Amino acid sequence: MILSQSHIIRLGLRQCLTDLNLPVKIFLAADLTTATDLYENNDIQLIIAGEEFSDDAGFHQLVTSGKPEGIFLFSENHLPGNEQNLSLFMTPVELAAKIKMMLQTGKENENMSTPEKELSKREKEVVRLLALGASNKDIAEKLNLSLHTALTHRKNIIRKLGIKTAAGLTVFAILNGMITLEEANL
Amino acid sequence: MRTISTETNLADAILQNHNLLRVIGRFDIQPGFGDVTVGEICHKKDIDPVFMVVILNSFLDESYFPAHDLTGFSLKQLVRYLQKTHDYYLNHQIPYIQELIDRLCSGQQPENPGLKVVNRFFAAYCRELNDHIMREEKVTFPYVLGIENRFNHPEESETGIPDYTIQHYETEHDNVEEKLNDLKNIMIKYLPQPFDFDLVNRITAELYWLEKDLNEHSRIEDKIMIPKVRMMETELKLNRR
Ligand SMILES: [Fe+2]
Ligand SMILES: [Fe+2]
Repeated sequence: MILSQSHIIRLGLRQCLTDLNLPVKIFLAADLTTATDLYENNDIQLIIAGEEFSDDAGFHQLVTSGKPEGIFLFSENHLPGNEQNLSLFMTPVELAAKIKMMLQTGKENENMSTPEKELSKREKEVVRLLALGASNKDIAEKLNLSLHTALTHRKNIIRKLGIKTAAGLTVFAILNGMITLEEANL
Repeated sequence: MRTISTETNLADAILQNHNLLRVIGRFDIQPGFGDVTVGEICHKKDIDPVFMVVILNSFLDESYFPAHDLTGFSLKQLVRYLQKTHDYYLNHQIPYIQELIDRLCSGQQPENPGLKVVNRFFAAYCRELNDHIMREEKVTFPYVLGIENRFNHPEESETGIPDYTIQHYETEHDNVEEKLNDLKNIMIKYLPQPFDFDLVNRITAELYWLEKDLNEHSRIEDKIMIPKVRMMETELKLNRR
């Protein structure tokens, strides 16, 4: 995901990345709201953010909230020695090397630890109940949780799966053998 | 992307973004329209050019709408366009996707139960979309047209506050795109093998298009129709607080 207030930088970077022919989808965001939305609904492996966000509290919250993926800050100047920086004047070769390295590291991390995409046991239960038609309140009661906790589970599920609606979760649950087609009211 | 005006050559605009073909189709403009500007075709087809320009531009650029003056065209035009779009969803786009999904499901031997789930989901979605659209066609649009009529001819209209106002519509108007997004997402990430890859490609592309189009459609309902009706209601003192 490319996050920059500059239209020219966003489109320019996208072109540069497209030229590298990486097997990834590129998202563009001009502001934090869009970025957060994209982040929650997609599997973002790498964020390239404009320097203007480096001191932004909202940005820090965004990048610390999720799984450990790569973050690059994009600045106008060459800041030597800093691995986490991309600059306006770097060559395509330099850019390719940095991006590839970062995507690679992300993969390794994912292989070593449990990927954050995986639902926890509790979350799986919540998905199952939602798929069977339970409301948030039902779920809180059944699993002995506060409504707030139930909602948090739900939010995390949306973040991990990218599926927002109850009907969508139902399909997910069936495809993953959590409930049967007959049990579901589709 | 250049902004479209009445002076823009229609073919040039469409060559820039061929999805506009689907949009002009709702104005009964079909390929083979010749070398004309947007203004000329509007004149020929008796379409309000201001409205046409707003629709085309809003389609190309999401941020185009809010800044634009909405008083220039009638709600009648707007409703007619929304109805055409409804017709397009129900009678063309949805049956087409359904046909592709049917083919996807029937093509596998042995049967893939995962595909059947997708089919069920889509069928449920179609029912929901149909209900949504029917409600607008049967309740909302007649109300909207009635208000415009009352606004234009206050002396000959009945008085009194109606049971249904645009406020009701605003509260009940739900998001019909979310489920589509989920379906696309599920197909891309979790569809179990085996299946016809080419068909899945085509289905996800059509879902993508439908979602974008529905988004655009809802934006017209929410950002143009509602404010315009509300303005008239206020003028007619129909607002209940
Ligand atoms: Fe509609
Ligand atoms: Fe609608």
